[in-house]
Amino acid sequence: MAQFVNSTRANDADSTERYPLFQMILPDGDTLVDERDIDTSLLIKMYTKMLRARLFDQKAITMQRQGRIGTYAPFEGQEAAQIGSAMALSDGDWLFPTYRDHAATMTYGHDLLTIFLYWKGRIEGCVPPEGMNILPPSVPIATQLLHAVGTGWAEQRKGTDRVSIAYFGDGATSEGDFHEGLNFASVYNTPTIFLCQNNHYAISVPQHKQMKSKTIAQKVDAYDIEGIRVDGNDVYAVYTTVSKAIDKARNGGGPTLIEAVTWRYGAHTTADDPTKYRDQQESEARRTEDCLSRVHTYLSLKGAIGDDWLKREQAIIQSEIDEAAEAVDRFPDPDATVMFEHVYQTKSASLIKQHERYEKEAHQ
Amino acid sequence: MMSQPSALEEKKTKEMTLVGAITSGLEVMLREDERVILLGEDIGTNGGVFRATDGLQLEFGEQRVVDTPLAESGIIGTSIGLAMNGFLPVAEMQFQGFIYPAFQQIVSHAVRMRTRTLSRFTVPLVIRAPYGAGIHAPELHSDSMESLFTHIPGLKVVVPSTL
Repeated sequence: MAQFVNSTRANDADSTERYPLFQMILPDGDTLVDERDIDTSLLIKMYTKMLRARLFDQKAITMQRQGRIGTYAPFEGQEAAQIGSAMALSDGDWLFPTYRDHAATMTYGHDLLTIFLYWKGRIEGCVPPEGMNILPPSVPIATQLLHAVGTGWAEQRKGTDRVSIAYFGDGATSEGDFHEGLNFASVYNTPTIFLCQNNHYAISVPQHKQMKSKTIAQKVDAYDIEGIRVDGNDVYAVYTTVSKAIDKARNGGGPTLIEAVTWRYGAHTTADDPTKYRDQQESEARRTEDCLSRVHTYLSLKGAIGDDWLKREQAIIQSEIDEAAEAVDRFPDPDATVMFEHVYQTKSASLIKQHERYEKEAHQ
Repeated sequence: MMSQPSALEEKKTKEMTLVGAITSGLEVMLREDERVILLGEDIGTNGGVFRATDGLQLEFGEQRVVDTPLAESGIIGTSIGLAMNGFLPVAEMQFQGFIYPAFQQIVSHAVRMRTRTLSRFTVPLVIRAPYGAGIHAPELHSDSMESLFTHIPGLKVVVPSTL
């Protein structure tokens, strides 16, 4: 009798071994690599940017509670995954964020006022600085992966070395657009980086209910592209991994899926209560693996930062954040006619009519 | 056939089918503007299931007339990226009844990128989708949902017809 051997399943048992977690700086400040591979001054820059992001995040939550901005999606815990990756980009690259990726967008070029404005429901919050390819946060899940394939494909066709990076979470990997994005990128060998922050929860649904696969990196097996799993709380490991993937993409090597394993300490948004779906004590316990504290420990042990460094940096950053927060409060009210101006390149007859009627009736 | 020259003939226009007119229009645009790219399922070697792109891949090559994977959301989503970055994609949906997987890409992104970014990013994208019955196709091949799309700001719905 014929024997049916399910070889795929047999291989899959060790997917975490096939996609091992890449780490450089451990939670206790110890390193897994030669310390000469870590540029201390660059690491200090990363730490400063992570500090800025974390203090921004805390301020945004406070402002939501005070009614100064609307619902907000906190990212505390995920700073390293976002900043390590965004710092690997160069001018002209394309960044496609979600609503939880402001640590990435503020690192690549958004000013803090823009991000606050986004959460105040202002359209100005979607507009990047002149000449910067930062797209508005994608609110539907995984849809932006395809856009990142398209802009990357366009760069490839123009013969430039620019790349696209798309940010998304673990839940996004269940969407059709995730798979279509990976497949199109694979078929056309586009210079696209798929940066998944696996924070283990899609709002309330844990990873084991989302997928049977043990890793997200292994999903590349279906598309024959490179997949890498990295400690998403290790900013230098993320930076190194993404830099390599970008280098490869710039040189015609095609797309890479990077799974940055991380954790969000807080709620999905300020509108939900995480104690309903997970043990918040366990969540707090994860602070021993925190992305900021491990860098602080490493740099302190090396004597690269002194005792007063943190306080000094915090003060500088806090005043920048407070200034941006006050600017949001003072920001002029929106001009309602904007809604007629940016629908088509040339206004349609019905839009002109609506605009005229608005002008007539709004001032009565 | 009329015995005397028709108004059309007097204007030196050519008589052709609607599909032929579409092919001709695409050919002109591909020749005139190198930013134009056609994308779709079976539009290359096969020339499209309605032959709307017949011969165009042979003439303009696989880079300009692209046989894509079978994924409507993928076609529109990728076209959005191409359009935001300097190209003028013309995406074919094989039948209008198969456009629904791309509905979110159209409604949430293609049509409102201009609005959301105060015209910083725009999506100059053409989507072609045949509709209607009369070709003896199986069920779900004759959906005529163009009225749905006329309700979406940022989108223009155009139906070619004879005079």
